[in-house]
Amino acid sequence: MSESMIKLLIAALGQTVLMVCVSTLFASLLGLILGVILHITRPGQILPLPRVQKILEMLINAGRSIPFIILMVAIIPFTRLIAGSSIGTVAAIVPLTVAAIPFMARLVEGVLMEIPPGLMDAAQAMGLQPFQVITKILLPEALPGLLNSVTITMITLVNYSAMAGAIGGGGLGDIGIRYGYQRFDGAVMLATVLILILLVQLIQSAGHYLVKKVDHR
Amino acid sequence: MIKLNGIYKRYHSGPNTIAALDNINLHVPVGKIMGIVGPSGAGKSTLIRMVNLLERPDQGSIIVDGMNLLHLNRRDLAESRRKIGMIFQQFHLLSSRTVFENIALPLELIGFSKKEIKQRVEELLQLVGLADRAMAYPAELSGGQKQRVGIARALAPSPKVLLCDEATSALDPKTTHSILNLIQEINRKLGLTILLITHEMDVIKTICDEVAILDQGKLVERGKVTSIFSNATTAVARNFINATFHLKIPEEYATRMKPTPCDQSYPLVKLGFTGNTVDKPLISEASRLFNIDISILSADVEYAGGIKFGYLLAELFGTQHQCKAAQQFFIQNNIQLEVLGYVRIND
Repeated sequence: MSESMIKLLIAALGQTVLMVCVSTLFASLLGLILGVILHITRPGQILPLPRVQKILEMLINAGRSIPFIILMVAIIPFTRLIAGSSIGTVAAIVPLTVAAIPFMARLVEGVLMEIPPGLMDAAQAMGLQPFQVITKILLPEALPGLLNSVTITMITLVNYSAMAGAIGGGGLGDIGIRYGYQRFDGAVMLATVLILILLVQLIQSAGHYLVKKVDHR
Repeated sequence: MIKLNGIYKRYHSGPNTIAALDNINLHVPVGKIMGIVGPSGAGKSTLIRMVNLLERPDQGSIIVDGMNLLHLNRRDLAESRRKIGMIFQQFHLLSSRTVFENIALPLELIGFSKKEIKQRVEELLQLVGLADRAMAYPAELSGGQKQRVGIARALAPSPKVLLCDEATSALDPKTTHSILNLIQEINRKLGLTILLITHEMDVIKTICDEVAILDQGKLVERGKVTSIFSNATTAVARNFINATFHLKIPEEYATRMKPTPCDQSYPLVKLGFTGNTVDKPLISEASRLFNIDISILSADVEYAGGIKFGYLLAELFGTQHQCKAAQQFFIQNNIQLEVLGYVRIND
């Protein structure tokens, strides 16, 4: 492999890391908020709002059913509004975030459902207000599961980011397609795949480590 | 302190309506321990969860410390609930918080300073005997220790009422006793009014002043523990009471026992001591007065609510006339007497 190719790969790794990290950050925050709302507005939960719940449910399902490559193209005007441009690495962060929000929201909802309902009784009996239930009970108790959800979301975003080349986002996937596939360069293809495997391995290990650290169950 | 008036609660499942609670009227006076006992499915849990409105009644009023809870808005209700501590069968501690932090939670809500929290939590840890476990997580504790944390947490905001929802049902007998002792100690030391539900009459007998018996959503009997034990009128109550005594006629006696007196046989009697029984050494007195011998086969007598209570199986050795007179004497002193049969002496 030539030196220029190696430089290209390093630059691509940088783009992938940038896209994945920033979109993970935003998607986790927004997905967390949506997931919490989805959970607490359910009947029998601390803030039952059936109508809000239903609308949110539909939005999330819709968001999750659109293939990423189509979503990326479909929301170009929105991307331009947020990022100022519809092409490039920064622009790719917008569709990545949008795609990961409903995914994260569902994971968060699942984690919150695992919290023993008895804790909600105890919280109510102690006189916690709904907002206090979220900050003092739901989120701390769910923390190990939430960190795990962030890990899963981040790895999914590594996967999605491979398609960012379609709008000029660059990244390892883009190199793999353009150099590895279109130019039949097996070495480059192998290199991108290996780097991606290592990247995912690293994210997963870091995730495991953090989950273990905060889990006292 | 706690007044429930005309509480109704119905559940609908398809076309059927199930009355979980049916016209419950209950009053727990200040500083007393009241126990509600009943078979599973009787509505005990629903009833105790009404007192802090974890469940709402369809009808009726709930007054705790002079406040009608059903008239409060959400904020005021949360406020009022801080006066009502509650502990649970499954403890419901936060797994993400240490023992110290679990107990501190209700204090954070009231807005105690860090220093005040530390002082109060240490006090409570002392009270429940967990001073050395402050930094442990609930997962590292035994069931009994978890319930102690639950009690400390419930007591943190200095409530006036403590609700115990089957608080000892997940614990082994020895731990159950230590937790019951703690609850009683709290009642005496802090003057807390306590309402507990249980399916074990032993719990009632050990710590309650008053008892109510719940069956199929209705309060079928209620009164002082001693008077219910001595004068239970309903079958449900009797079953619960009998389950707490473990008296059996020895096998060897049963084979020699006849329903009617015959030659060389002596009466085997069951003597019941209740709240009404005259507090005197009646057995030895009877023996002296009527010149008979009394042999005790089996006994299960204990104190419940400060009164001697229980049953004795005894053989009375004397002439028929003497034995009759002794039996009369027991009855006059308000011992419940039942002749189980007549046992022939061994050849």
